[in-house]
Amino acid sequence: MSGTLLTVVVLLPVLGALLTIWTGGRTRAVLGTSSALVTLLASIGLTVQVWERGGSVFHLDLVGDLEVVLVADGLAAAMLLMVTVTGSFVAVFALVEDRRDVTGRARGYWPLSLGLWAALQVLFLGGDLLTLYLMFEAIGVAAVALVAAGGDRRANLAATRYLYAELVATVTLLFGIALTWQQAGTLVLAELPAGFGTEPLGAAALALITAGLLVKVPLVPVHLWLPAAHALSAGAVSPLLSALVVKTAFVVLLRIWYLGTPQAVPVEAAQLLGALGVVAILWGSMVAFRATEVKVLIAYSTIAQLGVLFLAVPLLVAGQVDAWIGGLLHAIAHAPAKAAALLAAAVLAEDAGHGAIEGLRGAAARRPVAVFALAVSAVSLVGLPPTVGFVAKWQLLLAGVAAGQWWWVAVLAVGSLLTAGYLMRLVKPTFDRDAEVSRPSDPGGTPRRADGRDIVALALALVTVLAGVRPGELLRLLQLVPPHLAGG
Amino acid sequence: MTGGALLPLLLLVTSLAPAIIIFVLPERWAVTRAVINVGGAVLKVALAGVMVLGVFAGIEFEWRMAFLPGIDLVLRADPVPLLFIVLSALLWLTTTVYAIGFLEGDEHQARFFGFFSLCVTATVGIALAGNLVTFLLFYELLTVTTYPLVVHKGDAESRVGGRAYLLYTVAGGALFLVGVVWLHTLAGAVEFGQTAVLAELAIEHRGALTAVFLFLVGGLAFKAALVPLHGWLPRAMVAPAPVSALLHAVAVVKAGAYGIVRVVHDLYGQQLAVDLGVLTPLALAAAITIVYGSLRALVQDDLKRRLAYSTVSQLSYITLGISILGVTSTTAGLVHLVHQGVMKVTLFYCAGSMNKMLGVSRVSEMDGVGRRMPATMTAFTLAAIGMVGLPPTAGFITKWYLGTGAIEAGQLWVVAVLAASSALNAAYFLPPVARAWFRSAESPDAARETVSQPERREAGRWLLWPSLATGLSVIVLGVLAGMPGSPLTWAAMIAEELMAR
Repeated sequence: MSGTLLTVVVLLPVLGALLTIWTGGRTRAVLGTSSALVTLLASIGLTVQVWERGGSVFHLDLVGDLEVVLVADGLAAAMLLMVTVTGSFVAVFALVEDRRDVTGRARGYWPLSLGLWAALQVLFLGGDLLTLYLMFEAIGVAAVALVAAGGDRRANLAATRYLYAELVATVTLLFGIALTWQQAGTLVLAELPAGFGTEPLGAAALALITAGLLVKVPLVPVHLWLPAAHALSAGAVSPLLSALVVKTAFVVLLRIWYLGTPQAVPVEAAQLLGALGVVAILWGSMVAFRATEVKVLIAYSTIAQLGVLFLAVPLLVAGQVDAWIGGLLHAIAHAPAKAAALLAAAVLAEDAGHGAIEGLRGAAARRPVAVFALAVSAVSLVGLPPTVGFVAKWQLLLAGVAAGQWWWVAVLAVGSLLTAGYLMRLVKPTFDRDAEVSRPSDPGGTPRRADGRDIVALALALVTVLAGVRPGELLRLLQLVPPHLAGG
Repeated sequence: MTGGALLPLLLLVTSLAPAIIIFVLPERWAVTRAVINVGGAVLKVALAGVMVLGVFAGIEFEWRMAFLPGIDLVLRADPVPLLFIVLSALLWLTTTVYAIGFLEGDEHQARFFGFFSLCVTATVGIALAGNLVTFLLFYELLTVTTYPLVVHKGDAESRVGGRAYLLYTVAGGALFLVGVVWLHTLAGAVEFGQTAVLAELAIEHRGALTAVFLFLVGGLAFKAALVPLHGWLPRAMVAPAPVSALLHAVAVVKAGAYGIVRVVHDLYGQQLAVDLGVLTPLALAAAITIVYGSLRALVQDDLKRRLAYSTVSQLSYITLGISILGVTSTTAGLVHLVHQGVMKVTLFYCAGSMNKMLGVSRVSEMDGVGRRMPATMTAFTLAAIGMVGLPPTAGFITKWYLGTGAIEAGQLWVVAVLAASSALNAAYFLPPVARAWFRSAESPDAARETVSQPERREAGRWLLWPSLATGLSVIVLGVLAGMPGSPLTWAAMIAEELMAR
């Protein structure tokens, strides 16, 4: 039954999180990874069901008029796959790293990451504002705790800033949701009255929700919490944040705007969001060009890539279904690429003994597999074939040209050049032959050209190639959404 | 899957499989690696031969797979692709042999040969691409897989050259992509060979189709190194000699020129391109590139830089040929795809051998090289004469057809360009040849330690045989140009078919 499978998908990571609280040592890591992999299988099963039967909706009554609504449509299934595929690779990476015990990871990693994972899944399934709000809270808490678990003072400061940003976003979001409740009498997106958001108070509610979500994405100019939090968190944490958590607010925004209140979005607001996206691309790229730390560069690349997502918004308002596919696919495509890049960066930083870009010199000889993973991810992030990043860019360009909004087309083209430019800064030094001598991280240990983690990073990077050569199913899945999209 | 669908795929697999195996093999298994490399290359030549026979027997070779909504990935053996496939299969074989000899004892060979094979896979994909999206996919794959080869030496100069290479080609790719997307929104999934579709579309969308042409050819011009988009090419010649040979003869720059051929002939059709008025500017750009490249080549002392500028110039003969309306000039453009490849690959082989054996990298150091490496220098001389365009070489055939084609089309200015270019070709190719044969190594300006020992140091057979094979082909292709099955008769046949469409 579809409902059973949905419950399994949602509860498995919760169960895993509980189990890893009460176990220790090797058992904890094995249990954590196993629950990740089983969840992956369950989410594949759920996707197949959605594929065969179309989407389905589940209601769970809470006290009073409140109810939890979960929507298992194609969009949710695709986002679940993004979470479970990327998350599983990160889990295996953490399992291998745990065996080596190189970071002395805090006890909290497994419960927190699995808890985060559960919250992410429910959020992507969420069909009412209450569920979405609660899951944003849970994700925020788990993410902040994971950043802080990095240990040192700088990580704590970054976590604190992250927490403040989350608080501001949540309070704004909550006001918006309360206003929606007062105006519409329901929090279920599909039941919002037609024309909601066109009257002033409804519009204010939508504006508040949007503002809260933009801080959470984050979109320039409210992005300042992200780089430090993402760059300073541990090797197996930052992929979860940069690849998965940042997608939540964007997907929810699309769900609310286009599945909840399709008529209420003014063209000007959409163009403004697109323009902010452009600023994000330019600003993120500019800082990435000047970064000296690998993970700082990658964090600013995330800012720029999140900007690309918002180019889809004005095109979507212009009625382009390709923008829907392209925007969401860009969000999905970014996940394995960015996660693989960060995993590779973690391995390479350990190899060099520090995280500066300078440390990548000669790495193609010392850690060829990790460098290859980094390079393949970079190709997908730039949006070159045969990776899924290209397919996303293709769909966005198609929407831009078909809508006749050439400025977004130009931005996309320039954006991929900028991406190529700053990611080049990571790949180029790896070929330096004068710096190929290995520096073993633990004195006395023999340097290794690759271990399990390098291979996990490469395998995850190659997921972008697999999805890039055969994107048909994923593209169709993204169009299996409730019928009111077809009209808008 | 029938044989007709399988063969195009197998042509890819014969280099993709070696690439994957080589990446996994341990670095020290040099012999196994060489066997896999050469084995894959020989198999590819054999399959290309089977494909040629099959096409002449009337079999259609086409493989397709659903890719994007409404767009398939298509590999198809049309006449023009076939010519390019045979060229790249043969030159890949010789270059593989050469590279094995050239890199002997070097580090990172697994990485080198892995990407080398990927690079050839991409080239075959480009050759067989049946529509623009398939072409784009392999075109960009070529961009990224060539990068590790360009920076293989790992010194600062290589890394800077690699960066220039990548940024130029990614920029070109972005322009090209916009053109592809635009055309898709106008015409849907057009495949190569369906020129009637665009001809019909041109009635309504003249302006848009002209703009799309500019985007497509403008994007391709980066790789085809049309002035002023050629800046990466002289910088990328820091790559090892076999890479330069491949880059200049079959892979990157050739992919650009080949793309222009396909856009003009298999997408728009030459007649439509003439009607839109886009061919004259293209011919002018090619002519400017020919003269400019030659002028720059003239003043380069570094041999490989001189060869790089010569490529800038020579490659534009292809573009020039196909942008003049008529069977004869189109024949010239198509046949030069082959001729330029064979000549340029020889020159880079020889330059690499000289550098490896004698440490000679500059024209001013070439005194007496002919006596020390007579066989290598013979191959170099043959290719150089071919470049100048003297009979009975392959280069002469190109220039002859280009000239007569231009006269037939009434474009006499092209003849002037050809004459000027040939004079310049002679001016920058004959001096190194003359130095090598007629000056002795003891002359005062070449009193370097390595050069002052006049004993023979001919290149080893791994380096020599490929050079001699391609060098002799320069003559053979010229002398036997009229024989059935020669590139010329083949190109003429294709040109007639294209013009009759």
